[in-house]
Amino acid sequence: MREVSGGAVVNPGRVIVDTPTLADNGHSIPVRITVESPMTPEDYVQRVTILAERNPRPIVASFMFSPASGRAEVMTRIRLADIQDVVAVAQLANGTYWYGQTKVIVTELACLEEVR
Amino acid sequence: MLARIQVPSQARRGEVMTIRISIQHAMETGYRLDDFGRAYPKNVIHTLSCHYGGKEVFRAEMGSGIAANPYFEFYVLADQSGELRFEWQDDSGVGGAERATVQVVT
Repeated sequence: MREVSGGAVVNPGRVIVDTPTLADNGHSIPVRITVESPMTPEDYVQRVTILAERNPRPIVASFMFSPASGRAEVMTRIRLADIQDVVAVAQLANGTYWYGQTKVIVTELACLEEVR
Repeated sequence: MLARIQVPSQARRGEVMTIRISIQHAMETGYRLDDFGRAYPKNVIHTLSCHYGGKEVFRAEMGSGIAANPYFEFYVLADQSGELRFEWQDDSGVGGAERATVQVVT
């Protein structure tokens, strides 16, 4: 997480990670990230990064927003190689970092080859 | 590369539009092995961008953690009638583009 923020402090809060708590398989898990922000030119979310620390590549994706986005929210489908916390780190225009996380239980893991 | 996008054809000024895009792509991780134990080379869509009225309003940079046939849902503030342009590119240099027009009424 420090790697994403370049060493800056990452505060808990403001970011909601919405996923199913139990997923049948890790190949495709819907994730919705919502950041509380007015999205005005003075105060908006610049970037949101999804992390899954127990994946072979922990940085899953990062999304760039601007005031023209209107809402700091994105939904996608990710792969998970293990039961783990899905973390989302948001970088705000004022330079602060916030994070939220949700634990996801995966019954059949994605890419067993990756674990080998 | 096949892609499906969903953009409202009409929106009110100041309205937040929901944009959905789905691209057909295997998102090969590089960890999968063939029958001879050789890894299929990593090939994922690494960048997807969305321009609205010539300005970039959304951009996604991703790795192998995104599921096959990547799907995204995001939001854009409607401020003027114009074109939404989507562009993406994978590791093998193959990319694609798609466009949609939205009419903004007051």
